[in-house]
Amino acid sequence: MIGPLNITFESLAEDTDRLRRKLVAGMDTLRGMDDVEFGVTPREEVWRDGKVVLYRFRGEAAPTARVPILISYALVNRPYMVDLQADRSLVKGLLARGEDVYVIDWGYPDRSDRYLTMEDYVERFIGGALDHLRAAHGLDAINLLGICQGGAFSLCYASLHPEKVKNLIAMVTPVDFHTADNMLSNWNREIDVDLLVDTLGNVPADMMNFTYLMLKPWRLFAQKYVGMADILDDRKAMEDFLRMEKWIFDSPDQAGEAFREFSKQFFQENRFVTGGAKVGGREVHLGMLDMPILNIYAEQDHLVPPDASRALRELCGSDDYTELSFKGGHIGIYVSGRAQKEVPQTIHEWLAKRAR
Amino acid sequence: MGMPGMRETLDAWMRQVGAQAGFSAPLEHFNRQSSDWYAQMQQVAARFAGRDHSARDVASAWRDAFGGDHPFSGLLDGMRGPGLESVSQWMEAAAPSLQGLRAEAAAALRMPAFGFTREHQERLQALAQAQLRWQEAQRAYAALMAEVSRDAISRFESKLAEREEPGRQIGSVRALFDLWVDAAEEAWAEAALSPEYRHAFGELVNAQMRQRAAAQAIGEQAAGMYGWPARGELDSAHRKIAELERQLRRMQRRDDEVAQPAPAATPRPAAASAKPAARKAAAKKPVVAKAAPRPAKAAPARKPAAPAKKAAAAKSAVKKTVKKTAGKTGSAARKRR
Repeated sequence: MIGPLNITFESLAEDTDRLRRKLVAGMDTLRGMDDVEFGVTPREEVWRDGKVVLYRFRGEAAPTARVPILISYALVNRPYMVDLQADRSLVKGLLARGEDVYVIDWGYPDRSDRYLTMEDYVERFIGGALDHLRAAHGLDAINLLGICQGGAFSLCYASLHPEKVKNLIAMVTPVDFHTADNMLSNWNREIDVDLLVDTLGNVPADMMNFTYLMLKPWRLFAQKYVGMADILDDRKAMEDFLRMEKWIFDSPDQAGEAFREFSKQFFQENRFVTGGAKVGGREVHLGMLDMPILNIYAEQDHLVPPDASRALRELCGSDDYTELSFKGGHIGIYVSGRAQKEVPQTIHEWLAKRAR
Repeated sequence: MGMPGMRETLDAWMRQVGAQAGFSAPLEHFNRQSSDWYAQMQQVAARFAGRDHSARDVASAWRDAFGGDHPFSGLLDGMRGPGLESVSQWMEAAAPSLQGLRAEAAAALRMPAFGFTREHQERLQALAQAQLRWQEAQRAYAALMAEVSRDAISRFESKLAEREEPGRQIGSVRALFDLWVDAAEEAWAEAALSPEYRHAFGELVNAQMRQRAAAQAIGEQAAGMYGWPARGELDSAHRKIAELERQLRRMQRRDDEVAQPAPAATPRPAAASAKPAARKAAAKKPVVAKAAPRPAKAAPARKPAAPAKKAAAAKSAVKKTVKKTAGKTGSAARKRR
């Protein structure tokens, strides 16, 4: 047969029959499944401010590290990505190595939270949680680990309060928002953010999710679900798939004023690089980051391109700066098999060397 | 045309599963977002089963499968949710309150507003004008998406042409579908990073927001007639509460600092002592010269000023994880730090 396709009626019939068998098996799989659960590590609430809660996670053994780690996640998804399931948990990996891990849960903002600003998120919530830990542990400074947008907030906090941050870890954190391969930033730059926030109040989660899916529309709207047919007869794989689906779409709305400030200062004006970023009227300058910094970025990150993260190297004021270039994507850096081996171990070793 | 089977199989399964409770969300996705595409691709493949054909034939058949529409438009149809409504969906949702306004608004658009009802007329005019701008923005965006679709199909044809030689042919519907996805994503990535897309997307979002804001103004006014609380007054109350909380927290922080002064610390080095690289970056500011970094106040320091910057090569060395085994924690590492 001449042409790019070598597909016969027999192979088409086999394809259909294979799909039919998968679908039949899928009925049994799905009937036997409850809603997926996430979060495997025991935790306790230790501090709260409004909807924002600070959790301490408990490992099988008591922590050996004297200085705890505070994890600040992004606002756009739920933080349980760092403790998704038993075999995919950054938190579990850190606890197993003796670290003392705390995670801020931002909660789900409603319309009454529309006027929360970046000052609230950075000073009130991150600052409040961090001050609580300093007091609870009797320390001047603790370790701060910021992820994605939570990393950007952590950079702001650590710039304003460098004396309170012993070591700073940035994971897939955008610093230069105007790299040529940054789709999100390109789309954002001609949006009238004031009009958007004034009209919508909070920015709906569906709008945010739709935007993220549009980064790779055919892969994320279509191909992914075609692939799902392959695993319909595999309960474990379906549980993993549905757990990830839940995490992706279980998104909070974005508090309007904080979204306005973040979008304008960073996506539109790139102020970490150009200068003049402000939180609560105080200028943020990355040159003030004089603590040891570990910058972890993902080589195949379609949300925060590597160059967007690597910009921290030249902008920070620290002479103790380390990078981990992770072979994976924005989500794989928490949940892939490689990540379970590399990321917590790297963080643990890096902190151990700076524990004195 | 084509081989029946896959679409029917998927439809039957969806009907069966639809009767079950609990899985509607992922299965609805599966049906709307993928099974239709996959079944359509199977029908295209079936047209060329067992007969000679060219890359162009397959790409044309795929393009024709959309019946004059284009694939990107088809992909995005049916996405609903707060903030995602197309104008038709939004108008449909708002129909009960806007039905009576459409004709009025169109008429009001053609005359200047004056007299006792001029404010009402202006609100209607704003809505009608916003509606027109939204339609223009939608047309421009749709035209751009049609271009992306054309580019995607052209890339699809090129990729198919590469597979014409024996030994490289595509042997399954899945592989054909994946090839299309690769082509479509390539075309999309190029377009989505372009200034043209930035402009069209910005116009689209801004136009929809203007339209919503105009409708909200009418709704706000209507709610007032019935004595209902409206968004404006709720927002005002929320803003006041947030500002009060912020003020209260600042006062508490000041009180805490008075009650428990921070331990004396060595003065922080001046920002000018930040490492040269950071200063160099600050000087790169393209538009306005950036002020030297400075602490807002004399902040305590934990360490003296850093010595001269280490060699850039040493500093920029990328750390590679040495250990390839997870979970191993040596006794040294387990010692309390």
